[in-house]
Amino acid sequence: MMVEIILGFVLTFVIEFIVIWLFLRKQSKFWGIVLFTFLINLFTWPLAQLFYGERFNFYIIELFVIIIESILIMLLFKLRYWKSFSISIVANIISALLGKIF
Amino acid sequence: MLVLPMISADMIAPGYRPINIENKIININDFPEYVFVSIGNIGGKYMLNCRHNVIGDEGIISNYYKFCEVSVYAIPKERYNESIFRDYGSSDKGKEYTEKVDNYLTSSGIIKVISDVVTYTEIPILSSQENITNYYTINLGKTLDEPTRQDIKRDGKLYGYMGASILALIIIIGVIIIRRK
Repeated sequence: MMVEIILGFVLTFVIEFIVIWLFLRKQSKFWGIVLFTFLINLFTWPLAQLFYGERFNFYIIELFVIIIESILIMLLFKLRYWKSFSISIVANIISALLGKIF
Repeated sequence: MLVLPMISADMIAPGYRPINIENKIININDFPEYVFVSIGNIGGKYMLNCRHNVIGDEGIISNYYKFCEVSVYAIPKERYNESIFRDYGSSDKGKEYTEKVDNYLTSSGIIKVISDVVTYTEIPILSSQENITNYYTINLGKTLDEPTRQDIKRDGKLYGYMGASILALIIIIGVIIIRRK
């Protein structure tokens, strides 16, 4: 079970890191993107698992994750809200789709 | 070709795991003049793999095959007829058996006290739920379709998830505050 938890978290982190890095590679440092993406995921991923485990609707959980992550991306990377919202949507749609497939 | 759908129907959905469920009637001893019987059907058809079980004094309802729709009936002791449930007949007489059991369970004096008893469920593999106990307080004048009370036992993942989230949030707030100074 521990392996599944770590694997699930690491995969989500890696996917979201790649998306955020693609958007912000010119304006933020590599290790800054790594650290902030890790922190954002460490906050939202366990909460999402908690609610998902209680059989809350998957799409509603994802919507909340997108909103929370967009706010955190805005605050941590000092971006305008709509840019951080776009990054969050792309990152979470890709990670959710891959999560559903695998 | 024909076997495949049956195999896949019995498989656990990817990303899910079965969870142990216990269903218990807590006031069964308030009705000593009744025999309480659980029985399942699949699509309205009574079958061998959803067979009846007499519920004992502890009030524990047996678990069933995942596709059985389980109900509990209160049968007056003098009307209880075990043989009706036992006579499955040959497989081609399934319809006949279903009609016989249906007629018996809907006859006067027999009361359906619980319907839709969940004896099997699957939860997301990373859920913190470990097992579920459903408690029923029955009333002969009403058919319960959900438990009166539910206890969910959770494992350490609950604290792990919450701890990780809180820790991350504290660090994020710290980073935001430091960067604003």
